[in-house]
Amino acid sequence: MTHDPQPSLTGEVIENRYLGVEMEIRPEWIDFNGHLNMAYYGVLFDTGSNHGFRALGFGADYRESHGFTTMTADFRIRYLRELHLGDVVRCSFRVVKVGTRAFHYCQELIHRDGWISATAETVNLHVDMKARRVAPYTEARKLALQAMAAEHAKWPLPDWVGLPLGVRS
Amino acid sequence: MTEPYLSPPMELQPDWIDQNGHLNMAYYGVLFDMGVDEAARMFGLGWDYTSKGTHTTYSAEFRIRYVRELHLGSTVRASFRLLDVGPKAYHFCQELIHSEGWVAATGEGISLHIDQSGPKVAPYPAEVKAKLDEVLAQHAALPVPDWVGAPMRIRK
Repeated sequence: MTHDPQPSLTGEVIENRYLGVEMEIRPEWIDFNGHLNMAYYGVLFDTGSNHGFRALGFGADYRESHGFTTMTADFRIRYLRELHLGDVVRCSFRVVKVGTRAFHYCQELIHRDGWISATAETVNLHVDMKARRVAPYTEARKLALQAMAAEHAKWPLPDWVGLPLGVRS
Repeated sequence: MTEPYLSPPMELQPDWIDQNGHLNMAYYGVLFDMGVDEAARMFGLGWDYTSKGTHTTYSAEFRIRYVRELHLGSTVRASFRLLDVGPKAYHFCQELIHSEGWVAATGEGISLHIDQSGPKVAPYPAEVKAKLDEVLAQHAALPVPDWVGAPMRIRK
């Protein structure tokens, strides 16, 4: 996770979604199909999770003061609609489940015109930076995660969370 | 003996390293995608095919499991194993393998065949479908990794 420490980047709740800042597509992310390459949706989802991680208290100051960081264990994207150069998108951030050392969250990448370009589902680990090992959350971070999970539980859970991959015959 | 396809070696770029001092999660996707581009040539779905401008492939889904950190200077190769082939899509899995032999991450994806006049999902040409089926039959001799198709969850 990058966790850009800029304090100006904050989220807002609109229609049951906790949304981050607007993001633009970079020219070098366009592939031979003339659209946003599949891999760079990952960059947008990662950058588009910053408001959530910052609100949970996992910013750069936490890393420096406590010696813990966060790392991704599992990440899945469903591609729904192409994005092109000039498009502007925002990312939602919704906590699905909280464990003692990891949490599960889901996201939607939403075009400025209102349609969903892609969805993501992620498991994120709490890691002791020195030992490079998964470690239990500090009490304050656990409470922050549980509070956000309770807040987000008021919204409907997307039906694509937890589905297996497969092809239609 | 059947073995999964292995891409040529790939190197990490300095701007892919994040504040944790390791390869940022998003750029594992770049490496897996480069590996798919290489493997797609086996089926006649490489640049020779897509550059004609009539048909191409899109990714429908992609999932990464992060197993081990990667650092600048590391060299990796991407394996590729077909899992299932439909008339318009295939399901595959990959491992990102460090030059020392350990697995840094696993990938699982769905690739769609696209008629660019839509763009819309379209059946594979017969020769591509035949090649996909042939490779699928070869890869069927390989074990299916236990992480394929597993739902995402946290351990308590």
